[in-house]
Amino acid sequence: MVKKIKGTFLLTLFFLFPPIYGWGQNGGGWDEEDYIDVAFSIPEIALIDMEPSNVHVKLSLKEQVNPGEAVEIGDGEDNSIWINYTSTLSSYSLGRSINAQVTYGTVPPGISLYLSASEYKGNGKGSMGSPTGTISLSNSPQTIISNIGRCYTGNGKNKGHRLTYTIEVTDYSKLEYSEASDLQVTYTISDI
Amino acid sequence: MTCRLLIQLVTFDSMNRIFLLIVFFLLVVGATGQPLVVTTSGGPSFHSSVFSLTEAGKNFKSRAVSQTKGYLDVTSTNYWYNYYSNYRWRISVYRYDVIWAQELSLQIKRVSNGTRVSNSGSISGGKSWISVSNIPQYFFKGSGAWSNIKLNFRLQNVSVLIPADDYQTTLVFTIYED
Repeated sequence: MVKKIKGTFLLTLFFLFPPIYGWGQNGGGWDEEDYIDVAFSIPEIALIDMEPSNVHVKLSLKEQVNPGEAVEIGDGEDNSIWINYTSTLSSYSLGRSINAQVTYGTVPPGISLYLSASEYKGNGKGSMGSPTGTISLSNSPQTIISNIGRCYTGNGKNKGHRLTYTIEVTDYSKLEYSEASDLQVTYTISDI
Repeated sequence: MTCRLLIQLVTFDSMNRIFLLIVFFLLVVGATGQPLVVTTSGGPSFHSSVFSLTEAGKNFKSRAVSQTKGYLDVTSTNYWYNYYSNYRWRISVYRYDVIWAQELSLQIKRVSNGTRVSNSGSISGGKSWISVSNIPQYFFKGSGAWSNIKLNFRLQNVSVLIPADDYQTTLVFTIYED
């Protein structure tokens, strides 16, 4: 009888009050864990713009006065525009490049319109692109800056790459008098 | 007859001893067993604008504070503990990375005590930002049972120089007897 009462008492202790001795808790030791998940995405970004914006570049030839002499270049060069860019890439991306092409109008016959980008300058950070040298602008895209990695050039004038436009008479036989020709040059940053 | 009585007495005493030992064992384990658990809810979320740009040449803002908060409960399944005990404890935290960039720093701080569940208790520490690493580190400590201890989170060193990816880590909170 005494045994039965004791047994019942023990069973009651054991099964009805498990919290008293910590049964059912994590391992029964003095440590317990829980978790909070943290998740976010850094997207791939490729942005370029010109600084200052909405600036028109004006290049011209001088009016010929003396027959037989070479045509003089008037405003033959402009380097007032800078190109800024920001580029984020995944670990698997090879990099980016910037192409330029004439997307409105055509370069007048007998004249070449050249474009070059300077080495990077500014207070940005990261893997900046490398200028590819001078290109003769046309309606086909051509690379002016290559091997852009993850970087930002800084925003504004005197940051990024200075762009230089020049014109040159390359074929007098095709040279024609014309009123001003408007051209639009479009820059595109794209994955390699 | 005397001998038989003696055997019965010895047996009875042994049973008593065993009974008392078991009761003692349960009481000791009950007194020293783990009464506290830490439970989390909520968590950080970062607005998509943190990782977007509208102006070429710029970097992301280096610091991003979570829009939402996380919460910790320090309670027990032991009824008596929840209301009358005043056990001292401490919380540690570490980061278990799934996908992470080492340049990124995930920081955490406690922004409120929450609500005290036990009759007495206190909380201290954890009110300044700490960078959570992959090694458990002390976060804050206290005594008694509490609910809705509010936490805030932020990212440091956010930059376009960090590879674009879907980052994921887990903050692991552990409660210890102090």
